[in-house]
Amino acid sequence: MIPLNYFLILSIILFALGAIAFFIKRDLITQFMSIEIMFNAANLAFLTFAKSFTSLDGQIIVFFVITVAAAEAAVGLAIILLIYRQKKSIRTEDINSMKG
Amino acid sequence: MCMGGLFALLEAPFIAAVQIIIYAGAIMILFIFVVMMINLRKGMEPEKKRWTKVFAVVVAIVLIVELVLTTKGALEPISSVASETLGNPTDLGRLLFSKYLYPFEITSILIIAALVGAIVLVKKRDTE
Repeated sequence: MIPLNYFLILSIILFALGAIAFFIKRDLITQFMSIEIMFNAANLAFLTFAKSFTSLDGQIIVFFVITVAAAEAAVGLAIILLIYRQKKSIRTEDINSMKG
Repeated sequence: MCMGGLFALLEAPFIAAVQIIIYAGAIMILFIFVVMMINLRKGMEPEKKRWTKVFAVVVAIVLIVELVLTTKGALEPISSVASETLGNPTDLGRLLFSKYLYPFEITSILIIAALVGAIVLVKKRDTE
């Protein structure tokens, strides 16, 4: 049996990697993927604590998080497509005007 | 994607299945479609600014240290009692439709809103 601390440490490292990728990368799709990585890290932490406390509530919350992540992916990718149509670019430096 | 395997290790087979289905079936397909439509020919030039990298690494190290310090004592009540019925999909569904009924319905409304919103956003407006 793998100790539960390892799962927690893995989730912390995954979250930090997602944050690093979000700050370093400059195109919208990679930033979006790093957001998904951070979602997964949070899910892993939720499941670890659910196992630790032998409670089902954590798994329910993970279910809701996955649902919201799917909805967010749909809307976010639609927005990325729209930005690409307007600006012909998905770099974040090029998106510097509101009401464009 | 291999998070699904980890979830299965944590006695959550239903969540593992949902994760694999949604990530393989929905989110990856969406990403692939968008990458196909965006069609970057020239590729990204490498990043020039050094200080953002340094700043991000520093922030991440601080984040890791802080999270480790926070969660160090959190896993104390590890119940090593082997509970075979922890991730049982039957119990999960029963809980989902009794205690968490309102959040469940709210997420269904959210899914519909996201669907309609995505379609409306991407639709070409030819007649302004």
